[in-house]
Amino acid sequence: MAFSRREFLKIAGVAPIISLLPFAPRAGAVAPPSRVAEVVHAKKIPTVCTFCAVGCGIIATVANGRVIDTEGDPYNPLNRGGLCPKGRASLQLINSPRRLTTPLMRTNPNKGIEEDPGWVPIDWDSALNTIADWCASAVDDEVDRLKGLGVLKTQASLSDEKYYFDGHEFPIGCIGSAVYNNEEAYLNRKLWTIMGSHNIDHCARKCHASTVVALGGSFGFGAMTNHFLDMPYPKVIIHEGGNPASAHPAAYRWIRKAKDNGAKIIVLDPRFSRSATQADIYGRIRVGTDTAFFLGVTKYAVDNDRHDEAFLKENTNAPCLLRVDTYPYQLFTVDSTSATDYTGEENLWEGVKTYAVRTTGGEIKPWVEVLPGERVLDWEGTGPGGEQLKTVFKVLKEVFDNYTAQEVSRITGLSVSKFNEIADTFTSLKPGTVTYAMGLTQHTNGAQLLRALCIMQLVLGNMGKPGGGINAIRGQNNVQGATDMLVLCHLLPGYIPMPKSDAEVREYQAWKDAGMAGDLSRTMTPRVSFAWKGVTYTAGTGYDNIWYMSTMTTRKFGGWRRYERAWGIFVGTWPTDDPENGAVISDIPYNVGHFMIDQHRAFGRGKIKVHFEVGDNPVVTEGGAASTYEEFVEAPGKLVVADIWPTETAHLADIVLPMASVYESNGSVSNSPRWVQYRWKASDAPGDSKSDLWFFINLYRVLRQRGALKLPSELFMENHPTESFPTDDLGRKCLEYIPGDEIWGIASDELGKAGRPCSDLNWEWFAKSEQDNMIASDQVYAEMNDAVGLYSGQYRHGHTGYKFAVHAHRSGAGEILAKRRVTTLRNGIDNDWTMYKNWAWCWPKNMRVLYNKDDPGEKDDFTPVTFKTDNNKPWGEPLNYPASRVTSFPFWRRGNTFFWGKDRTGLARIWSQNLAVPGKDLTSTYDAWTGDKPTTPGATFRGGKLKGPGGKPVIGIPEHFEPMESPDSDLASDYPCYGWLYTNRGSEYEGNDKLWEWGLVGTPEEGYDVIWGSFRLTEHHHTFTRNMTFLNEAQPELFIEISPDHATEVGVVSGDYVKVESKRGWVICKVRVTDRVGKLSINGTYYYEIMTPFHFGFKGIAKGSIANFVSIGAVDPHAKIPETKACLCKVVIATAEEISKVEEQGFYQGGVE
Amino acid sequence: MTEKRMSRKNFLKAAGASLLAAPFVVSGIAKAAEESSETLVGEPKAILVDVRRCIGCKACQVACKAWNKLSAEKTEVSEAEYTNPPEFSSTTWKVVRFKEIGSYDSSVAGTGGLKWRMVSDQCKHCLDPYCVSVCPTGALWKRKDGPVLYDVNLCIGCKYCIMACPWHVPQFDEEIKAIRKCTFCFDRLDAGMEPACVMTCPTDALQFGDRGEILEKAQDDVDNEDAYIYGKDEAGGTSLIFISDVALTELGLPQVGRETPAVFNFDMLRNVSIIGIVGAVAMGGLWVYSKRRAMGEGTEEED
Repeated sequence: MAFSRREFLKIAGVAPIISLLPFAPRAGAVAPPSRVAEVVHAKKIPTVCTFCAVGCGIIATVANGRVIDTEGDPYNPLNRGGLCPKGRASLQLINSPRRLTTPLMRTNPNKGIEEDPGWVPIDWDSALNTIADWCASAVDDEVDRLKGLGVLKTQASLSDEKYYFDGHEFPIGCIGSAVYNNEEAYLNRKLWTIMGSHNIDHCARKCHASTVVALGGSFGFGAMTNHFLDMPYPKVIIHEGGNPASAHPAAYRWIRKAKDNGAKIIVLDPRFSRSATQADIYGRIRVGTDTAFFLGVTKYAVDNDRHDEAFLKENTNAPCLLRVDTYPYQLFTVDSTSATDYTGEENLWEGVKTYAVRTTGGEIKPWVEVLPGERVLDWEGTGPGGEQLKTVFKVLKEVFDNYTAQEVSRITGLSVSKFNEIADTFTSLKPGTVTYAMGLTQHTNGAQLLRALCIMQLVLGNMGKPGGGINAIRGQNNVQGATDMLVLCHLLPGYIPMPKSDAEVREYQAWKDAGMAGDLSRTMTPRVSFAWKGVTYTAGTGYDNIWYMSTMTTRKFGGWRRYERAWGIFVGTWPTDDPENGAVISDIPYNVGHFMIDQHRAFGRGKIKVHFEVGDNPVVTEGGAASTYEEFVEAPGKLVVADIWPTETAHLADIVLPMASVYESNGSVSNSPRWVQYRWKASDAPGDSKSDLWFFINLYRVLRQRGALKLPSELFMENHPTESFPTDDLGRKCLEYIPGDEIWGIASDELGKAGRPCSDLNWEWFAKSEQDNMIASDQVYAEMNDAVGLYSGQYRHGHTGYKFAVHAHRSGAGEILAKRRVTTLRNGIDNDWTMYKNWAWCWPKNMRVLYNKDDPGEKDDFTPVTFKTDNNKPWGEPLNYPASRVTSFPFWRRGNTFFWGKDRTGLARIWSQNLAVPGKDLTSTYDAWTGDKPTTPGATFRGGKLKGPGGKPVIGIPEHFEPMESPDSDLASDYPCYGWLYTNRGSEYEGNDKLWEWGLVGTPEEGYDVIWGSFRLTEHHHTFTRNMTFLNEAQPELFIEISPDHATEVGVVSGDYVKVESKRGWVICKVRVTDRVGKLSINGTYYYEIMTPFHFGFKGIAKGSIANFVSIGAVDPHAKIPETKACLCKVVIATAEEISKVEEQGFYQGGVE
Repeated sequence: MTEKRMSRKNFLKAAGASLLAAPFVVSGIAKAAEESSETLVGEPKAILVDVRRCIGCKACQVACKAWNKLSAEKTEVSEAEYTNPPEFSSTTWKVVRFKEIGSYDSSVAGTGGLKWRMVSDQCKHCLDPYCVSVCPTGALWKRKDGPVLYDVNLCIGCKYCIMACPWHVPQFDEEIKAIRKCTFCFDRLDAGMEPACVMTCPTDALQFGDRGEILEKAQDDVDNEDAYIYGKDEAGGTSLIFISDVALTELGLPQVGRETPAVFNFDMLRNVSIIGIVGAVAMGGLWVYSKRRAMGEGTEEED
């Protein structure tokens, strides 16, 4: 083959010399070993990467049951064989000898970094039984507590009896994962729900919680609107508060194609990031000030007549009228009387109140009766009853009027010319998209900030179109799925609220009795009415003054009904036909649980007695980690950590459980643009480690055995042995069976007879089939289809019927759409916009571009393909598209099924009322805010620039708010910190928390005059790549990036150690001197900024100080997302003692006492 | 590159045969080698390194290690920006070199006067490799479709190739007492696959194809926009064609002349002739010498 003598001959000049030397004969030369035989022809398993949320396909090559190679999946349309360094290094995760392989029990009661936990290996049975003991004792106490309150016990009269758990008070907490599969996320949430707890959260809380609030509040869904394969189509892209080239390199394949197509790329970031390498324009912006920028661009667009007026009139509430003589402002409503709406179809608001608009003819009419072209955008005047009215657009203009280029520059640190350059570019090219990530979300003003972004995109008419949209790029491979399954404290799977009062449950029973009016489809049948407490509710009319029965309330009821049916639980009254006087029974616990940071506080203070951390590492990743660490060390309760690595959090655990990685279990996973792809199991998990699916099934089993898991309905039946309850298929007692379920898409022939007394059957079945992991996960997948409305459609019931839980082995009878691997594009929009609609599945209803009416839903003409091992990387010519096509895709259809706003108008919201602090009266909240606490130490509250009365914010339209640690007291007075709304007023731990104490906020006057921010490296993923040596060598340790002049001031060069200190904590780390960070002019004063990656901690091969010891634990009042970016610190050269400490142990950090 | 031309292999066979008969006709070899780059046949492959598309993710660097089962090095934060490991080693065949150019000024349009570029660097797989030409044992050779390969068993550790390579690509491996370097993933090429680094590149900053086509593509860009090319003529042409909006020499690649190794050899061999038989004796002890002395850099991380 390749070897020949010719090269030898070329150096024939030295041949006579060589011939004298003692070496092996030349003819034996062989090339380095080839891996062809080993890899190329071996078995290939397609799976999905465990790192970021792009959802790259990975091909695992398996030999002898062991993964020997991982490479990009050339067929996966998302990555086309490409992988980032983390994905490419996956093999080192799978086969790492550092993985946990056996459950460990702590023997040293003292906790801390320095303490040796004294791990003793135990078997799974004793681990689970110990955990069950802890849980049982905690639950017993809770049951006693509730009985003391008259709950869960017999009373003199049935109408006084209540059976439910309080999800907020329940003593068992859990932080789930954003890495496990949908099935596992779903089982985790389901288990906690039926256990009685809403104390469950996961890292979406510290990731995109503010996105969900803001995008959900503006459009309906808190999700990325377009998708990665749509990225070639924008004409202009802004990367702001995100760095996709670094954090989502595989997505950059598509973004880079936009540049090939001539698009302009704009990067706004405090540091010149890897994304900036591709930028046409880069602007250095101060962290946490993006609201000002977005409102500034909005103003620029309107001032220069670049806003999309027709779009605003037809698709948004910009022309709707606000009543402005009361505070807070409210949308003004009038009665709609016409039988037809402006399209000539049936008027669904007939006879009810809806929003009013001013017509070009000078009338004030319901918006639904006025043609879009006749709605006046900019008007102010008096209403029919003498009310002072302004259009939303008018108020928007008043708000953004303040954000001139000069003001934006004063706040953000962008120069005026830079701002104008960016604003001009972005507003002149359409469609334009914005991608962002943690740089926009993780702020005390995160939700407000993202609302400003939504408004900017709506004003420019960039929504609902290929190439447009707001692309919230999520950080973890299944954070979207875990969010959809609501591994979160405030909602149930599919974004369904939980019950909060007995009245709600009675109302729900009345609704069931009346035939479960309304549905989630647009057919609006059957229309029936029901009555409770003398009030008649009728589907379609009269209920919440809103179009069809699918109000939030009805959606909630439908959601509960799904859980009842799919989980075999009960919510309602007994007797079931007497909602007014029956006993109230709810197997779904009441009330919102503790969100992540509060849950850690609750654990630290003993309120939560058994706390699970399933694949999370908050000691490193949480904002204000210094405090979290302390809570974990001091907590009186028991900590159970389930992970693949011995993490920093695991170091503080009482029991550590070894888990399988995602490559070792079957299941589906939802990537950032909502594609539900399937992961096939590549190999067995090492040692005794188990999949999360196995863990939850078996945790259920032991809790059941211990009596630690009892449904309130079961307790009710126990307390009333003489009542005659109906029975289910298997003759077991249950509470009821009632018709009407088919309208919720839950056909009873597939579920078997409903009303199982508890969900044992499902769990037992899962447990049995877990021996064949794929079948178990498929069963759960199918159950999700029925239980989670959002995911209905991901599974096709087979011809033979799919009676899961009752009739066991039917797997394969149905079609799991997530498993589809068809890479052909069909004619039409699929082909035009590379949607790959037969690749995997996508919620909602396989719609790839949210809010786009021409994106068709699911079709039946799919052809399954078998997986091949071809390693070609096919990719055609760069995508070209005719510009004219873009505008032919209008906004979402009116009354879109998937538009889940509160008002159901299908109008996107320029004005959104739902940004009030949940559970708080708006006016009192803001009044209180302006009261006794200044916004930052030393600053006097002025609110001088805010446009509401008395310098308060106009609630429905966002304003800029300074971070909790603002470098400038003038700005802090003009734009007071928003985070205090929760911190000061909302937390039950107020005044009892280290991080939220007043004294822990630093000011420049005290020497904290350097702006601190954190970021993610390409080479690491959160905290779980530090055992992967290929990545460690590329980024071996913690550092800060610091500008050359700043470094000179401090007296360091690259590689030297500094101490970075905030009022919360300090770290010792190296510096990397670079021009990519630098000074910012804020309100006329220059401030240095430094940036630091947050990945490192005191465990693993590559160690480093925990950067988040410096950050602040303050949260956004709406989203409860912690601030991890905009903080103040000081940077000083490290002492010899500190340096020797960090060089000796690899890390050195501390909290400030 | 048509089949009608005399195959390089055959050409050299013929040349070699005659050279064996007259071993000191060095100038004849030099001439033959000079011509050889024009007389390549078949489908010599090349990798296009498009610096303009590179986002510095280092996936190529990791892919190289993963595919070739190379161990990681112990590294640290240093002056070398994000370049880590900072240089080639026996277990690092691919290095992404980072370079900041200029500094940021908010009043300057565009990117504010600051650029950040990354070069994915590796063995250039020269058309006429220096390393091959100086290897006294024939442990290195050039395959016609591109790869410069080597046999570690034939390597005597003389390090001539390390010294000869303008990019210091071949690196001495302490453990096996031989040189190691990028193989162009010849095994993947044999299986019809792209090299591991190219396959994994998320932004197509690395592209694989016939050298002629890649050169044409790169030349187009140079002709049509402000772009720099590297590898077309350097060292007589290489199988890595770099294209960039910043001169590659500014990004850390050395200035390399157009002369081919044969010319280089000629110069070197003039010295050899001076040393004469004394040099031969010295080389005779080289094998023993190389086995004894530890000269490799970078300790592998234990795990």
